[in-house]
Amino acid sequence: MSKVLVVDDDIDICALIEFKLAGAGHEVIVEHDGEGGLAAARSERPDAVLLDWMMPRLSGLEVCAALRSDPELASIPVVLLTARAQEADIERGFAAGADDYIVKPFSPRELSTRVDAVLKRAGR
Amino acid sequence: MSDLLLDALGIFDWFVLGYFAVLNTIMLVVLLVAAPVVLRSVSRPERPNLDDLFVNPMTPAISVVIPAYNEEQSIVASTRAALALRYPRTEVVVVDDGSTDATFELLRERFDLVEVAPDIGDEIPTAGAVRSLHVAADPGVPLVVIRKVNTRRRADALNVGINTARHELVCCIDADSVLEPDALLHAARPFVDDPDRVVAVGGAIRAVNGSIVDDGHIRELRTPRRWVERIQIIEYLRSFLLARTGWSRLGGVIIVSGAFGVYRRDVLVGVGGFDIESLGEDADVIVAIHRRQRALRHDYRVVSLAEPVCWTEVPSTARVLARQRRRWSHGLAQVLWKQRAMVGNPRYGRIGVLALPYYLVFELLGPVVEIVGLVAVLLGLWLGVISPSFAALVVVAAFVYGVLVSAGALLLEEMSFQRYRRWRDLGALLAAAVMENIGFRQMHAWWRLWGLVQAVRGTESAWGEMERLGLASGGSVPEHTP
Amino acid sequence: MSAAQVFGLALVALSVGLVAMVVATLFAKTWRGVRARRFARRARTVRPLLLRALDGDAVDLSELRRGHGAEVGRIVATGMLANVRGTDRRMLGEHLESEGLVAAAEADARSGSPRRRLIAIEFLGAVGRPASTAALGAALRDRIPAVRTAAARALGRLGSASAVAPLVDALAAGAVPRSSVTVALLRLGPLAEEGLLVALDHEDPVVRSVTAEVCGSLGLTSARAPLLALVRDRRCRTSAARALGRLGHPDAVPLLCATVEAELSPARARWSDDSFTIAAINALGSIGDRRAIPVYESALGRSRLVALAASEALRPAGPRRSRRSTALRSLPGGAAGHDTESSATDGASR
Repeated sequence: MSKVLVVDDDIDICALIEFKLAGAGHEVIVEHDGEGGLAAARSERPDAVLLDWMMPRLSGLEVCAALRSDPELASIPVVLLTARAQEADIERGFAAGADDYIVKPFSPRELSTRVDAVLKRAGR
Repeated sequence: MSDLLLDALGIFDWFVLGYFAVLNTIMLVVLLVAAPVVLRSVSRPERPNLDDLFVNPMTPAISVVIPAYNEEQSIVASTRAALALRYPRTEVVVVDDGSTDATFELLRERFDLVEVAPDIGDEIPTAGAVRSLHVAADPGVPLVVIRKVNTRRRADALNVGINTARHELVCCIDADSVLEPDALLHAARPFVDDPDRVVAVGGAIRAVNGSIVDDGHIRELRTPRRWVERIQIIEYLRSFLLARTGWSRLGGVIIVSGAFGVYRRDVLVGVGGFDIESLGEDADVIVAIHRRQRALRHDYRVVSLAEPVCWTEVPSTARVLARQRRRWSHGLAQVLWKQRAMVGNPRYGRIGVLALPYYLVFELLGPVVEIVGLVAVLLGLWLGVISPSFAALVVVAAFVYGVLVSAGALLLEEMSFQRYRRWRDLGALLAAAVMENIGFRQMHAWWRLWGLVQAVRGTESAWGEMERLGLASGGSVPEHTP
Repeated sequence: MSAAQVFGLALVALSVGLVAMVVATLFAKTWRGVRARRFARRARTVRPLLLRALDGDAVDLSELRRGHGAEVGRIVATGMLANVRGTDRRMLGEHLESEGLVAAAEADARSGSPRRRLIAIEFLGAVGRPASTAALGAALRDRIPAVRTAAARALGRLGSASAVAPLVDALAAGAVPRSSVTVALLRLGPLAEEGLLVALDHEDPVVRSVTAEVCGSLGLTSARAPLLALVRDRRCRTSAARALGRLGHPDAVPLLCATVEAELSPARARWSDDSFTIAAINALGSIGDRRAIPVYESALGRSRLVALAASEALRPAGPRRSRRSTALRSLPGGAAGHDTESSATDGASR
């Protein structure tokens, strides 16, 4: 059973994702801001991280970059989930080290599929 | 002879009673005018409407101008926050007004600034020469930093910023303003819904003292501990937030705060930018805009929003507060004198006939009445010219009525914005509402009286004092009206 | 009346007023707290139901048809629908309809309570059934401005061409803010074409302006001829110019050039509004036709924003460049090696 960390300041979205991923058999940890997310990543060592971009205190991009620069966490797959949909945003997202980029509004089953794929790729 | 004097005293005492009764009634009326606007805007969350503005292709682009003088403490956080404001198209123009500290270096390092050729207009004549222009290396970061020679005038830095700005709307803020993330969307709405008429929009400025601010965002809003600060919160609610919303509905806005204001760039250029000699450049520019628009016979509007968009640190000691209020009074006197042709002049509509006379009588000259009136009432009582009941009536008109108006402002706040969550905050603010009228108000009148005296003496000494304290270019405590 | 009596009266009146205000404030605060807690409690049971419906379960939603449950259900559902798309969203929408929640909301759009109407309308917009258009069209004439605005927004999401006429009427009547109508028409998209073309000829200049912008944003080539006509109309020419720029067809070039030349002539007053000139120059730049070059050159000497627009338009065809790249080139030895081709000035596309 994989552990997925979900970081988003929108409580409704977190509830939605938690429901969907738990239904698919994952253990879900939820955090509502960037700093909390980073701390949770360090302490929980999730198998995948689902990150919102625009959050207070630390943006998703900054969390992603921090994860990638930490050798112990760098191998954890990161999926960005954000309302920012411009080409330039997508480029910046991947440049920060994301493995996948999902735009809000999103399809819950698609999200679940992508999370599964990214977990499988990382051999988790 | 002494009978004549006593009679005169008696008449003056009646006048004092009338003054307080009228002043508080006007405030009450303005609050009542503001109430529907305030209540209506918060019946449901505003997010959907703001989202519409975000995707609307007609939403105009905004240049955010931030004048900065020795702001190394907060400049990076403020710039980041300005860049992160939720809005489809912006640019941020930081004007480094000859800072002698690390302001520019911090910006250069954080945003990877690269020097470019200074392509700056000169539509507004400016005093301080421009030294260099820098942009962020990352094309996705719309940041421009201008370095100019300091001329000890915030208005000059603003004008350079406006000259550099390339969008049709300009938003002028302070380097230490804490903005709501949706501030620009709120401010843009009047421009989008009424593009032919709206020329300037001000937002509600509120006090952030005592609250927890995190990297340019407010995490939790709390009432501060000091009474000086608490009283200002009530004052800001009543006099600035609600009164200005009321005046906005009446078409009588004469100030848009320098802490946050959005203007049409072409109109700002048309009035020659901000006046560098004015101590109250934020009021000065709005009155100048009124004058110009009337002269051009344009149908126009200046809007003051009820929505809180900007939080600012208010003075936490009486000494700093006194200096601030003296300056405001002085600045107001300057503006009223400069535009004296407009006062009471029906050619200028409600501004000339309602707003400016109100500010002249009740804001500028009011302190005279309050101080002298207090003495006159006591004197009259002592000399038996007026009865104890009459004196008590004056007390009621001045104090109790005043507390009622302040409490009314608090009630409106509670029914609408509810930004202060905890019960003890509400209790503290209620107590502050009482203290505002009994004690603070009299000191305030005294400070404002001194501002008026300074104005009569001439501006030079005031600028001198400001410069000595390093405040002329915009110090850490906002010296302009909220 | 003696002074003492007046004083007494005044004191009593003001004190009563003061006490009443304080009590009202405390009451307002308490009431809000109570309502919020009630909502949270109900939402805890409602949310799982809706999440299961999202997953395709045929849950029983009858408790969400009436009363408080309906209100909470609609608010939670509206939020949920706003966040998702795809199959799950479709299943949720269908289930909400089959459980009668859409019909209940359409009825509540005429409810006595403005708050209830508002929540019902937002819900209908989120679910997005074209059949709800009639109910929402009626709501455009609601007494409360916030309800009218919500109705306009919701109409944009229903995907029915019959929404265009009521939206245009509401705009003409000044009943709804421009931004709400503009975005609603944009969301309707190309299916609104017929109604939009009619509206381009509307007697109200505000309607013509908004419609022009929307036609441009939607890329409706059939609007080209009417838009050209609107360029001559002072009250909506700026919008027409912007729209023609977005459509990008060279047919517009001669007229746009001619009107810009007229604006640049010395006869123009100093205080005149440059917004049309800038919009037209930007439009010409987008179209990218060489015939416009003399116009750009004569615009360079004008006010700053006009000159900026002209210099942007003059740059060779390709991505619009920011001041960044050209300025760097002009600076000897300055920041060489930075490839700063920026396709979006100030981070936005037009």
